[in-house]
This record gives sequence, structure tokens and C-alpha cells, in this order.
Amino acid sequence: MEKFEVICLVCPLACNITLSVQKGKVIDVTGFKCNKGEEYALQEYISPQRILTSTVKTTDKSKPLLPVITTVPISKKLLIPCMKILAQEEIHPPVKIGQVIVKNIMTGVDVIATRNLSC
Amino acid sequence: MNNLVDLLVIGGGPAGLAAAIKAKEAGVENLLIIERSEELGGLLHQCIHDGFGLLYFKEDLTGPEYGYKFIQKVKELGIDYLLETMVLDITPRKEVLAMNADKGIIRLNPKTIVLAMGCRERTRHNIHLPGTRPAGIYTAGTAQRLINVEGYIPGNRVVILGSGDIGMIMARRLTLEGAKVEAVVEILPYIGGLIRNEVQCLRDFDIPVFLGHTITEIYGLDRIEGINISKINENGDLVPETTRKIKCNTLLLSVGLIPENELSLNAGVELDPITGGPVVDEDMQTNVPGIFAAGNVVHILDLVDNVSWEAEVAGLSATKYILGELPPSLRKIKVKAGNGIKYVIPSYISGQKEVNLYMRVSEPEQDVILKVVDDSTGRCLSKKKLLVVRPSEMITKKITEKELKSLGKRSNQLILSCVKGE
Repeated sequence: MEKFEVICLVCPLACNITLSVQKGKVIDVTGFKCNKGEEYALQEYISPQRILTSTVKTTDKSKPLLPVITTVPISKKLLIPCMKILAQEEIHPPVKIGQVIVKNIMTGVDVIATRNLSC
Repeated sequence: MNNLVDLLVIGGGPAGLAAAIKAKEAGVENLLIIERSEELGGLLHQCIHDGFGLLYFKEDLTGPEYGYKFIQKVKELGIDYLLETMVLDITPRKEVLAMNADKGIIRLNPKTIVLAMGCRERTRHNIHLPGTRPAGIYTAGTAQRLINVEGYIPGNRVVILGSGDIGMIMARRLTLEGAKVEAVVEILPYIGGLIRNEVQCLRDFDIPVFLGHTITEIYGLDRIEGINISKINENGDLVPETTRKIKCNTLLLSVGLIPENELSLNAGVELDPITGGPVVDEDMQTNVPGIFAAGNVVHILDLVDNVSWEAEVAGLSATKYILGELPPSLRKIKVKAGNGIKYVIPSYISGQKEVNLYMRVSEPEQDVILKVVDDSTGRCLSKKKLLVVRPSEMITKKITEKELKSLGKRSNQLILSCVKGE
């Protein structure tokens, strides 16, 4: 049996949750103080999801970078592959906050601008 | 620009913007924000990560998005602001000297001032780091600006000293951009920043963390080539046999922030030796009548949401002062940090109205009781059970008008404590 430790981030209590795993199956979860915590710990074991924030290059020398974000959290494993796609992008201002910068960086996920850039 | 300014806000970051918006909405006509950089929003522009606004807007925003909401509001309300303008001096009579490239010297004598200059980072010299003085040593916030705004990566083998939030966020950012973070070194036996950042910035990327360690040597002549770290024992002494060398070409320092109060001192504003910021009352007014302060210039906050709320109090109080509706309080009750508490803001209250107290504990602890005690009678006005407290997470405690009614007639001091509950 393997143990898998998760620090819960649902609320500031930050419970230490332990999952007991046998042959890839979760057989026990301990240490959580609420249902949300248990759910979070299971999700962290199955496939942890993270929001990705980064920047893309612009053609404007005075504002060489545009900050961006994924519209929804993505699998932790895909953070670096997405960074590699963003590294290829170059944006011509103007840009509006919320504008799609990379459509479908992966299925159902866009990357959007988090600020305005004028030209 | 109108030279008759009712309210001058110094600093166009989150605190300055929120104070100005609140004052304008409450009826202040002649309002001016002075900002030294080329745009409003302050540090929010370089904080491209999310996690802002969860309390204030009930949504998860990035720094630029949080700033945008306030900047839009400032523009909608037609609030005047000057960019690339530096305030050089404020006198106790609120005479302000500023300058910019366009207007040259600017003299103002506003009725009220909100100090919202924020803070700056502690440097290598503030913490007496030994070793050579090569290139490649940056404060974490400077590196953040280089990477997120200006488009430079400071180096590709990085050690970070200090586990404050900016340091941890930069560890993730550098890793995502392809650099190798060799270590995060923290002198305390626990992580300095929020747990969320410990998990999502350090553990997610398996970044080695050395708690209870510090840097004892810096190598390199032109460029940093490496550092030594050593363990610190319970007495605070170095343990030489634990020394190890870590190769790196970049060192980031995330070793604390200092409220930026040179102007406040010129104005005769009294500073608190613990927070490094102005001593304020519940209206966020300093000891100089008509000078208010809010945000990181007062004390270092971990969440911008609290900065905005605190600044709204300052903005509203300045408005009342202008309208003659903020009488000097008849009574001054000192709010003092007792057992387990590092500091409390505000330092003084009137005891006449509901107030939010902001505080930090000295050490991480579990199952504690936060108590507000009237020092003259020994009576407990209010208490709150807390399951977990950490120095990195600010605690807010509201004291209601009803609770204040039980204050003794001669009470002049409240003591806050946070100790293990029975």
C-alpha cells in the first residue's frame, strides 16, 4: 500500500490529507475536515489541475510582453507543453483585456490577455 | 490642473486607487493622484499570477486584472492623476513639493493627504549577506519586473533566499520559463509565505527547500558562481559542519519588505518601530491631522483585497475631514499587541464605533483563542477561536459597537492576545 500526501488548499486551515492507495486504487482518505477537502485530495491524486499564467511577446518595444492566462485550470503535466506553445506567439497591439490570444491551446482551453495594450 | 487640491493621494498603486475612488464617490471634488511610474496600478502589473480579488470581488483575478478594475473606475469618475511625477517633500503643514519632466517643480498645499507609497524590498545590505559582490544578485521583485514586464530572464541556475510569497512565485515563474531553481533557502524553521504558494510554486515543481538555513558565502567576481549555505541551530548559531556549496549564476532575495516612509517622516508623521509604518487610528489618520495612510506604507499586507478595504477607510476619512465631519476623537484608546501577537493596526481607536483590527501572530500555532481585553478592568470584550494561525496570514477581528459599550469609563488600553485555548 502506498501513501499519498496532499495539503488541502480549499480553505486557510490547510489540512494535511493522506490517501492510501493500493494497485492504483484509493482505498482510504484521512485528515480532511470537510467534504470539499476530500474531493480536492482525490482530484490532486487523479489529475492535479492548475491555472497557467505567463506572458507572450509583443511587437511593441515599449511594452514587450503581454500577460496571459488560461481560461480554466489545466492538467499540471501540460503546464510546460503550454509554455512552449506560448513561447512561439507574437502579438501585434492593440489588445483588449480578455481577448483570446491562443484559441484552443488544448481542447476547450483558450489563453486570453489579462491587460489592455494600446498601439 | 487645479492647484486647489482637497485631497492629494501619493501613489497610484492599489491603495492610492481605492482611496481616491472612495473619496470621489463620497463627494470630494478636487482630487489628485501622483504616481511616479508611467502608468497607474503599481506593482499589480508585474504580478501576472492569479489569486487576487478572491475576497474583494469574489473572483480569482491576476494582478493586472485586479488593477484594471480600479484604473477603469478612476478614469470613469474623472479623477485627475499625474504620471512620472515624483513627490520630493511634504511638510507638517501639508506643503507638498513634487516634480516631473513636463511641469518642472510643482507646489501643492492640499487640505488632506493619503499616503499610499507602498513598500520596497530589503536588499542584500539590509541582511548583511557575506561574500563577494558580483552581478547576478537581485531582489525577487526586481527579477519579477524583468521577467514579466521587461522581457529578460536574469539567469538559468537560480537560488532564492527567503520563502516569502514573491520568492516562491518567482521560483515557479523561473521554472516555467526554463530556468533551474537549485534551492529555496529559509532561515526560519517554516515557510514564510502562504501555503497555497508553498504547494503550487515549490512542491509542484519539486524545488529543494532548505528550512532553518542561511547563506554564509557568495562566490564569483564578475558574475555570481555559487553560494554556501549552513544550518542554523535553536540558539541561532551557524552549524559549520552542515555547510554545503550550491552552484548558481543568479541569486534572488525575498527577505522582507519595508514600508516606504521617507516622505512621512518629513511630514512629521510618527512611525511604529515594529511595522515601520505610520501609527494610525481607526480612521487611518496619522498623528498629523489631515494626513492619512493606507496599504503597504502602513504595514506589509499579504492580500491586496485588504489593501483596498483599508484604503477605502482612509479615503472616506479624508472626505469627512474635508467636510468637517471628522472631529478629533474625545477619547484615545491604545490598542496593544499582547502575548502571541506581533502587531495590531490601528494603534488607537475611539471606542465609539465598530472597528476592524488587523493583526499578525508572532509564531505559527494551532487551536488558539484570540482575546480582546480591556486593560483597566481585565474584562474580555470579545474573543474568537482560531484553529490555525500563521505569521504569513493576517488576521482580521471585528469589534462591534455593542462590545465596545462594555469598556470601562477610564479604559485607555485594549490588549490583544492569541494563546493556546483551554
